[in-house]
Amino acid sequence: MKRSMLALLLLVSCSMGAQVTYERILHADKEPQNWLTYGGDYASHRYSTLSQITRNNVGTLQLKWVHPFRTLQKVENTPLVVDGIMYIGDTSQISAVDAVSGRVYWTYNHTVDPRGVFVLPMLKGLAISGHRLFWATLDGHLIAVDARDGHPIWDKVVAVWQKGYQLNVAPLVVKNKVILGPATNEEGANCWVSAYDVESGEELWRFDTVPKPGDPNGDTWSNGSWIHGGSPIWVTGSYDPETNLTYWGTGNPNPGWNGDVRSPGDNLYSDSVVALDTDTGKLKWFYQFTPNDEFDWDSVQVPVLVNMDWKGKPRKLMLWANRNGFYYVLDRTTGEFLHGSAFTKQNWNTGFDAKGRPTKAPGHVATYEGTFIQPGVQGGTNWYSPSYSPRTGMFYISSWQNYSAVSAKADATWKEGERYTGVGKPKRPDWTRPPPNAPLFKKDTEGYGAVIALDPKTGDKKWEFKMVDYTDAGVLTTASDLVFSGGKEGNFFALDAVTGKSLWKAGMGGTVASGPMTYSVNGQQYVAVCAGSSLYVFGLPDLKASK
Amino acid sequence: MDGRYRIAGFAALCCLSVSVVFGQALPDGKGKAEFERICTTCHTATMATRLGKSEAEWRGIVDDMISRGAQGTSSEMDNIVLYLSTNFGPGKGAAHSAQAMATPTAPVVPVAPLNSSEIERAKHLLATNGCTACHRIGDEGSYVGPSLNGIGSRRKADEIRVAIISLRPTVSPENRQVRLTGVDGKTITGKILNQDGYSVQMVDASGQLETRSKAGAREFAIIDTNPMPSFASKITGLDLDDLVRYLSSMTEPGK
Repeated sequence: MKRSMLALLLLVSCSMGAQVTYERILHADKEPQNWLTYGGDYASHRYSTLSQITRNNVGTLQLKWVHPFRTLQKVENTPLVVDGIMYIGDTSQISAVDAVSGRVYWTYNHTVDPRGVFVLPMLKGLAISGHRLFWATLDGHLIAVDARDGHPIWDKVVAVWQKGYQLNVAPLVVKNKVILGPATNEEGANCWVSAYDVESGEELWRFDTVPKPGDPNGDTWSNGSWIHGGSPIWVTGSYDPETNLTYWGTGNPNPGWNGDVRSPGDNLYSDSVVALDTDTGKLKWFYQFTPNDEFDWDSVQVPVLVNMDWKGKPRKLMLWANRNGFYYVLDRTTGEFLHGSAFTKQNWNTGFDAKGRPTKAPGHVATYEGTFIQPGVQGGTNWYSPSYSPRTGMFYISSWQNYSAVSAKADATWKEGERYTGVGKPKRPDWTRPPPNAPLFKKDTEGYGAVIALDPKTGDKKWEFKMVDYTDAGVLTTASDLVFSGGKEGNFFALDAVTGKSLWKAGMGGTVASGPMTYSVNGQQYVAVCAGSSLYVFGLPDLKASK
Repeated sequence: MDGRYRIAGFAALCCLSVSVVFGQALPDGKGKAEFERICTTCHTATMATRLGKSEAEWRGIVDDMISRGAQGTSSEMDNIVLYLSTNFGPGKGAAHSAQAMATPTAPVVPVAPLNSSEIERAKHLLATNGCTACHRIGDEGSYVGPSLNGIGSRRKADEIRVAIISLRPTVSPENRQVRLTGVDGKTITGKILNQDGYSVQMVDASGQLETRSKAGAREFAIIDTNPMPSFASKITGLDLDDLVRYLSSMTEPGK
């Protein structure tokens, strides 16, 4: 007995398995077989150097396995893959599965408080550090789970749902910190970005996305409106090791559709990108895309970090296609505005001043009878992950083109536990509610979904892949010049990254509302995407994994 | 210091904090002192006061608590029943107010908390008896046997005690091992996690998750022999009590 125990102990000490260290995530490009963080790497390129699936053979992709989730909601999850194990989840259950076969190793359940009502009942993904997975639950728990056996290590309530919060982001792990923030259920709960210790769950710093009166920029809220200013976090940020800054996009101010109580004022840091010192959480710079927003144009887009020549000089840039319909280039060291141009029809901004402040078109304010806005409330794009391919040098986004809406305000009074939106029903005589199943009857001029490729230096459209219906799908690019994406039509497809030509598609039977990702095991490349309420994994035929 | 004094000392400490936290919230009345002193040793006052129960129901709950280790004389327990049924009768529980619905409740701790020397003794017992050779404890140990992390939420104290001191020939189905020798002649052993007709999923002692094909396997065996010896002669008396209490206190976070 004793000898066998000793042998076991030796075994334990000799082979603890490969941990996901900071260095591994930092150099994620060196292990393209894995997908270690939500955006694929800290720069959130969602670009893979895997190239087994090519423009020539992508037409032969076949389904390898499916993982159904427990939720009946659409699934926005991007899985993680570490050395042949995939980690996925929905709002009530996370799982470790074999990335070749989809067979489940373990599951861990968290029962979301049934009294909670959550605007966005989704989970975008998990994060990993060492052997610890981090799961941010709808009802405000941040849970560290042992990636090897699915046992919880710690479980902290970091946001109280009863006060109008929810969590739906994939956290970002940098060194010893798990970084994330809460969203509000449009209940006017003020939000933040926080870092928690991976070992203990202890909060290490917090940056409030709504400053208090007396704090810098606290005077950008009128009439005491700051107290229910919202400004939520619901998409994962990025990290730049050279500046040690972590960048996060923030959501709309509350009440979202009626700015009366918030005016005059820009309502910082709503609809902004904030650059925070990763060690302290201190604000280094910010840029606000939509000051005093009344059209729900959250800036919860994934910051894409690119180093490239800008007007003849190498520069550290941030590429950002915003929900308000504009494509931006910022200097990510200083926050300097370098470029802004519309990528879809827009009627709200007549131009930028030198510092990048938009000039609102006359009369473009929320009204009780309804205001015609382009893009509409869902935006020219939204939270869907974009992609940057260093091979093609193009920036790829999912977009709503020619899309408009009539947006109306209503009186808004904050009450605990109630939505605080100020959203109204248009009273214009020319406004009619869109018919059900509108996509079936829609003309291009009335709006369509598209994957578009932008020249990151000019914002010019290089190509466009048109759909009829709109899209909530992210974009993946690969070193074999493929683009993978999907849309509400329920197709998952591969495009030529250079031309935008369609090369392959699969009907998924449910909306594709997640960011596709790719990985490989035993030399075989796979592409995974969530559609409907399942995860689907594709690969080439006749390349049997040895397992 | 025997166990009773230890608990009494802890309860006195609790009373200090309880009177600050709950002193104003709890109505006065006969039995209040006993309720605060005895019941809040293991759980918050709110755990009880959020309920609204009849005298008979409160009697049943208090009896249950006695069986779980609540310490007091029978007249003290009678006073607690009187206090609860007088002040927290049917329809009077704080749970009926919206405020209480929004107040997170503390987890049930089935046994009195251990003091630092008891914790040290339990940890010493775990270390010197080789428990981590098969079990996961904190950040240490093997994945061969069931993890002891969170065991207090999955097993009652009596079950833990029996598992330590009895000799059981077989393990529970969820703790079975699998031994598979592949076509390449390599043998792998681990705890079985899942299987279908084609493959088996397992975790080895180091925590490595593995999937192996059954096709062409030279050997595929599911092993349910229990490798755990009885510790009945090695861990006894107060040592065993402390170890059981310590393991029972290892509840699952968030549960």
